[in-house]
Amino acid sequence: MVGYPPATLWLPWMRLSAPDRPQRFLVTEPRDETDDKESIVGLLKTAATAAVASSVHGRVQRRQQARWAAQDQSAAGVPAPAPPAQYATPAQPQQTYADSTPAPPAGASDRLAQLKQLGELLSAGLLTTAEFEQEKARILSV
Amino acid sequence: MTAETQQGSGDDDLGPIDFLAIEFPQGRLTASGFEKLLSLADQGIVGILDMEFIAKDADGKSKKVDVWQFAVPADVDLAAWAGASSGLLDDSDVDEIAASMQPGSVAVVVIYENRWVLGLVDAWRHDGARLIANGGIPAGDLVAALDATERT
Repeated sequence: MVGYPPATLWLPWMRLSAPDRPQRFLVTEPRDETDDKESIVGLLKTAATAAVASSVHGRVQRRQQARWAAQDQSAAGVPAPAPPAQYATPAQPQQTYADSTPAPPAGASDRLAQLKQLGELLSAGLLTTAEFEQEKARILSV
Repeated sequence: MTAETQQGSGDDDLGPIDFLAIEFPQGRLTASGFEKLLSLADQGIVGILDMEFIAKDADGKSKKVDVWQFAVPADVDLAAWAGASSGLLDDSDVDEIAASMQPGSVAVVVIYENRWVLGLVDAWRHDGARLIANGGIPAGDLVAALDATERT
């Protein structure tokens, strides 16, 4: 991977040498202040060498809207594909979101209205999940 | 790009990655933190790699929830965050976070990349310097180091 020297990326889940995804992605720092750490070998611990795949941003972006992982929007190029199915709305109606009385900033009010409409169409069964995802991506990319 | 070249950070450069888990009692999201995070992301200070929500019900059972699935106060513009989720958390991650959650609450987990570091390092690299090491230090290790040096 280009960029940082391979030995030094601070990616907690990359410290494991196994190439497989470790069991835990989130490693919460221990908050126990009574840990006895007299045997610490130095304060600076270089992370183990990890073969980080190139274009981590690209891989994350493919699961997100293009806006988020890398901020260079002018180079965003092709819009990211629709987000994965996790964004499919649940069986129950989307009343919770639709019921909120929005006071959004001026620029976002149109998009918000469109998204709410879209959600109602989906929960009414008038759109497939794929269509919903497509339209949502289109609305948010404007 | 290798360490020897002097190119600026490209899309393949990765800043340090952290996460935050924020609990909202009774699932009442508050706007100001989201607004501040949006501002940080828009400025390129951080990059949002994942944003996911976890709900813990009154019986203590927890699960991931989608933004569309729970009540959002009027002043919270979660539409801006639609598409931020990359679905990287698995069940063990949910369990880890839920263990700290109160029943009836909703938590947001944000995985973010510290992109400001890239600009900082580039400023040095531009003048011919070379990044040779970087890493994170758990607070406990820092405390231990302070303890060790103060004992002498």
